Amino acid sequence: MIIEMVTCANFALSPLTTHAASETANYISSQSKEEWRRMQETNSLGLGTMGVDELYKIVEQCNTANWDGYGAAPVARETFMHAYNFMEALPLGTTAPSVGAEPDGHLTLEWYRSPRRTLSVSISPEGELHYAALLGHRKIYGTEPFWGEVPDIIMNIIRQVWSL
Amino acid sequence: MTDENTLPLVNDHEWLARFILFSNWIRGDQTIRPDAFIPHPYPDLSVTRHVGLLESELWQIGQTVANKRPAKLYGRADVQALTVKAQSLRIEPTPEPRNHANITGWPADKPGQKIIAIEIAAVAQFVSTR
Repeated sequence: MIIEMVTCANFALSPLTTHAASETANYISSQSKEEWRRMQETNSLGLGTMGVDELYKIVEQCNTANWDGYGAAPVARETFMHAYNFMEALPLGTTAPSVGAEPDGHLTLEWYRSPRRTLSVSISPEGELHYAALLGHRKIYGTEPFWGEVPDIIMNIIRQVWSL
Repeated sequence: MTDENTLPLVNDHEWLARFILFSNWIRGDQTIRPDAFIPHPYPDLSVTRHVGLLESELWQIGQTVANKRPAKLYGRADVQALTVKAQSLRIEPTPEPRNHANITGWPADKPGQKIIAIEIAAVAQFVSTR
């Protein structure tokens, strides 16, 4: 655990944003990514393995047509990859979302506190993030592209879901 | 033979059921995730009207939906017609299957659909098969 905390100082910036060119830099970058992933998988700092396990479980249940009995589209491999990368891109310490799926084959990540204090992010096979949130009587919704980092607007809404 | 023009109109206080075959759509606190109300194939969301049905007949319809897949029927999400109409959606009864209706008038854009689905899910009532 002490080692993890010390290593944490190396991750002031997400490893996904590193543009190292030299061999050494590439090696450090790959090690950093691995360390980042390991930290995400610790329950105390990251999403924990449960989040990723839940993602696998949902994809397994929804990878054939009509999984909802009403003609749902299967979840595509590309959608899974975008969802996985999105979850990995969440800053350490972010409350873990619960994973779900929609009849159109999109995967969803939900931050839910109550029926009127909730955020749902749909991830499409094209890597679009369609989000919608209820914060009391306020409604916020829109679309952002996913380029490897969680858009600020989504991070802000996650914080608002959990703020008093 | 029922003619589409003679199908009874949907009253504001009628209840509509969306059968749940995917356990993930039921949260731990027994509320429903908005995912259950995303229209697909667009632009319709299939529901079953409670009107004129005994509770057992309603479950029988749900079981028929489940058997077609086949899958386990976990329960149903009930919403009142006025909740749907308040979102500027329309409820259009169809002659077949029995008591079936389509919720139409959804916006074409996904975020627009999602915010409506969240509003409907916020007041939907989960009824378990147990």
